[in-house]
Amino acid sequence: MRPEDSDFADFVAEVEPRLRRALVATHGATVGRESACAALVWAWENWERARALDNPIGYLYRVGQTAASRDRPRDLATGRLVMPTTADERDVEPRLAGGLEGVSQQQRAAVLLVHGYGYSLREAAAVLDIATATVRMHIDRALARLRSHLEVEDVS
Amino acid sequence: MSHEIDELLAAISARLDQDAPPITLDEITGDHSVSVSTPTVIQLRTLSPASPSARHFAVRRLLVAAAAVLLVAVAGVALATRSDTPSTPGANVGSSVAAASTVVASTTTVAPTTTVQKTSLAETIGKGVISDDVKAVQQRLTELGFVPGPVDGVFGSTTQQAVWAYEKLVLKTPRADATGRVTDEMWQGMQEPVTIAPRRPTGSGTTHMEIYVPEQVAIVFIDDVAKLIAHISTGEQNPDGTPKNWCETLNYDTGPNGEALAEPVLKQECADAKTPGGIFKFTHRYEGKRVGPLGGMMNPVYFNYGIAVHGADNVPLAPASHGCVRLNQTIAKIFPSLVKTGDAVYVWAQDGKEPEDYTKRESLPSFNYADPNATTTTSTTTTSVPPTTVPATTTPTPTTAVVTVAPPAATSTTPVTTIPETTTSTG
Repeated sequence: MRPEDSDFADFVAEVEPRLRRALVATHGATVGRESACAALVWAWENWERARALDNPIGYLYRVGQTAASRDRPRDLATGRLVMPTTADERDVEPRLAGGLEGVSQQQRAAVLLVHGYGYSLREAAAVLDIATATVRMHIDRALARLRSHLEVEDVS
Repeated sequence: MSHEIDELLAAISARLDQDAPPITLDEITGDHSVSVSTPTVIQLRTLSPASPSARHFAVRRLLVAAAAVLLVAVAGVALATRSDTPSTPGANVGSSVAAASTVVASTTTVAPTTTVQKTSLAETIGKGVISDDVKAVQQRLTELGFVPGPVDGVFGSTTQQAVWAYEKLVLKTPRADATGRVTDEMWQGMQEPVTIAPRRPTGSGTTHMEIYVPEQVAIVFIDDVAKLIAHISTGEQNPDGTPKNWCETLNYDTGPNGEALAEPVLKQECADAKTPGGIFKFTHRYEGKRVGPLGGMMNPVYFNYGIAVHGADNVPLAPASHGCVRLNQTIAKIFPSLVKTGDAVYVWAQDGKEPEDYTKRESLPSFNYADPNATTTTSTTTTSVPPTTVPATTTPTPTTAVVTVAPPAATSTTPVTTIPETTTSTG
């Protein structure tokens, strides 16, 4: 059974940016994008099921999480979120990139979705498939960590 | 502090967006056709990345060309045939150089012969020649919208630049091969009716500018009629066409918010001499000479942060600016009166993409950053300490009177790309 082309195209247009950004914020650009791709492929292969979901984006986020962990188990926590390249390194505050690596994946995803991409708490909660209050908690802890990280650096 | 963190998080997320561009429908459905027997993720890993323009057009392609792509996917050859499904005009705009060149070819057309009594030139004319032939050529160039300067029969550098523009735009002469001389053959063609049509018609009652970086030609269209055609010089390029990186000592006499400083500050800064493609609007302008940190500009009209269309004494055949669009001084006198603030500017950059294909980020100019190799000083006050005032006993190495400024890692408390205010006037 093939999905109706325009239905699926609309679905991807709706879901893809948030899904990709959430997974990229969690796992970094390369693995995040690949896992988002994998989740969308799953939706394509199981279109009847995917279209009937209450919160398709949250479900696909979990599909992507599974794909990411299957693909590259457990070495993600140590990998740098933003890979510095010589030309573009100045784009990103190096100390903050360091600080972001210190927070957990969930906290990082929450803080980047809300404070980086500007999504609302409710949207971020839907994407990550957790409660709004949990998102807020993740963000508070991540920001506290970033602040202390930056202040310590400021003294030196 | 929180505000600062927000800005930095925004910078990181923008960077992540750049590193992980949107996923196209091709990547999902095209992969499906081969992923029957092997795990999905490994399949995805082996995919070649989509071409940049395909990515940026992802949504549009996705909607317009969904049917075509689906058929291709079913046939199992989606990836191989990504760029050759010209089912609808919108689907392929800018997705290949070939498409771009066909657009170019359609913009300037020489209509069939009908009119006027033709003359012929006694000899090839070029810079330095004074004759009635020159006058006739100047008259004709003026009629066509080129600006050869006063019609006085004197072939000077303004006339030479108008001829360059004619060669590059109408005769399609490659930029480096323009001669600036008018042969009799060229003159015969010039006397034919020549129509120069906009690549992006905007309708009557509108004014817009089109800037062709590969040709180094800019045109002001009023009611879609070419009113002013100018040879220009944009951001200096490396031999391979990429923007040249420059490092210079800049003289700042205003602070980041435009406030006057007590004394000028010298900073060693670098950036790429980039004239990015995209669609812009004229934002602000100055009358007369404007002296920015990078040098003087006559009558600048800005359209992309510090990038302006402005008059300059030196408008060579090759791109030579820091990113601005240089005009001949004669043209710069009339140019500001032709365009209004808010008029559209379309820029075709060296990479051959269509203006619509650029993301906002790609359209940003290259913002200045501190020179990583700078060894001296941020201001004149810190350097003026004479070496003799330093007691030899307190400094083990008396030769270090020059204050050393560390590379940007230590000083960059603000990321360069997120602060447009620091970018006034990229000459």
